[in-house]
Amino acid sequence: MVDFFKRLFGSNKNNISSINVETAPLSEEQLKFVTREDPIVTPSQILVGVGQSVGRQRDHNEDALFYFNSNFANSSKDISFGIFIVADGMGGHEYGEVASSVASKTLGDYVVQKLYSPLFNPSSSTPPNESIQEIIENGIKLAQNAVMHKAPGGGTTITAGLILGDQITIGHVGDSRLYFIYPDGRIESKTNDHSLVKRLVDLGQISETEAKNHPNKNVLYRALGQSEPFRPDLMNLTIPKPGYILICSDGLWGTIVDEELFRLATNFENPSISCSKMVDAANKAGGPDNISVILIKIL
Amino acid sequence: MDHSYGVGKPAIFENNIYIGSEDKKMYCISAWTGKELWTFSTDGPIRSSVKIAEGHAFFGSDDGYLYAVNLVSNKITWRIDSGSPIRTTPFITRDNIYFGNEYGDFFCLDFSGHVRWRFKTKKAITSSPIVDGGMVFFASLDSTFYALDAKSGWVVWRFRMEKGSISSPCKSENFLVFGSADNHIYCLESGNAREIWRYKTDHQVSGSPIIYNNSVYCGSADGTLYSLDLKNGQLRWKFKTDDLITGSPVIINNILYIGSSDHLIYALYA
Repeated sequence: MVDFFKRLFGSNKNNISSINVETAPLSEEQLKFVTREDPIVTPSQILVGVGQSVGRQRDHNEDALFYFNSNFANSSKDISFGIFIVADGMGGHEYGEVASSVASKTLGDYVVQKLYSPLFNPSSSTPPNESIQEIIENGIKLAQNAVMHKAPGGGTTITAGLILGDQITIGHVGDSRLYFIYPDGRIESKTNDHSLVKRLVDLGQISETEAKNHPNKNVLYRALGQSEPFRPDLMNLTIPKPGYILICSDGLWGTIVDEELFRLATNFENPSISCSKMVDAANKAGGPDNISVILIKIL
Repeated sequence: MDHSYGVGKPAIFENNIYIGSEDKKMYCISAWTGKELWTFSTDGPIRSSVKIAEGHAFFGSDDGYLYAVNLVSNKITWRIDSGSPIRTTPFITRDNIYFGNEYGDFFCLDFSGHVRWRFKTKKAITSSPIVDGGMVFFASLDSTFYALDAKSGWVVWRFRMEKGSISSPCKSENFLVFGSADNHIYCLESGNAREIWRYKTDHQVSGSPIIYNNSVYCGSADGTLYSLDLKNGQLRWKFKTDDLITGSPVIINNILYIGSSDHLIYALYA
């Protein structure tokens, strides 16, 4: 009986000494098993939030926003798709409102038809004949024609981001903006405002501070709805991963400084809450213009 | 390689030199002694340069195959039939292998030799691709310069030249530089194909440019080596040889080396 309890509670000195016995080293195969890295989780995760407000000083909203995204992943492919558009309309007789709506819908519909259908249709895996930038350019041309036809006298900006895999194709006309936001604190505008004030800044004739309060800060030299022919700015970039893409009208970026945009974009887990906080902040700062924002969080 | 010659650019790895030859063999030569260590035979002349990665030599042959040859066993690991001579140098990334062939097909393979995607141009692809920022860049003899999405193979943008090109591009920041049979050296913005500048030489530019210290160095079939400012394409200097230049220069310790069809190799201060 004593032996039984000794065995049970381990008071046997032989048992203690056996702890110090070195075991044989693990084989390469065994090491591989115990040290193998966690499998990489795919596909890329894209979370999207949006926010919009008429602001405090306008009586109606002339902004429009549109987004559509999806994902396909199997053993050989991992393709995320998303089209994100902000348009800021201008012009009397409600034509600004019509212009931004019709432009964003036309471009969004064109991109979805041209890219989304062949991408996810099992019977058609061949890419379109046009390049991705040509598709965005042609979509913006169609949007321009639609604005001229349905909102004569009106106009709109349009800033679109098409995500395909790890690339974003940006199409841009006017002074809405697309930013990349990196977790390390950087916030970088990837679009160039087509405004007279920005041109004066680029020429060194006025400072950034003077530009903010310039009486002509809303005057654009390029916008959808204008009669002179133009080409949109087009650009392909690798998406910030992890990071954020922010697309917004001047009702947001003209009211809130970049540091605050960074803080609001990154402080909340859910990009919808971030967007809501950004719109609130712009309204608290006076809300001088319509506000539209799309925030894309890339994990 | 006694009665034949190599047209590719040699690869140097762990004191060994790897180069293909018109005699259909890929040679491994000791960089110290110049002695032949081993050879690997294909069924066609090898005009593609060898790339070394993951313990393998990757190269194409005029027999239409892309080969992956193990450097230790000197045996073939796999080969894939592209259907037409491969004269481009494969570009190897962490996950993929990219190359084009003379039938105008462009391939993206994984390291097992499986085709991830393929893309068709209208004429031969002799220009070797580069991959940067998630995009693949190369020229085709169909007079078009292509930028494809590296993951999906979709065309991001294309740029029309006046003639085809076999010149391989080089890139620094957003500046993408290549030559063309239309006599020009082009510099495009890599994100959107916007032409930053073009420089006209007196003959076809079939050699590949290099970028060094904000300058572009490129030879032309007019026999001249040009040094251009990367930002604006302005001529810094030029050097005339007595025959065509179809190769690419290299720069080591600020000295530029270039071969000419006049049978001379020149060393110039960059």
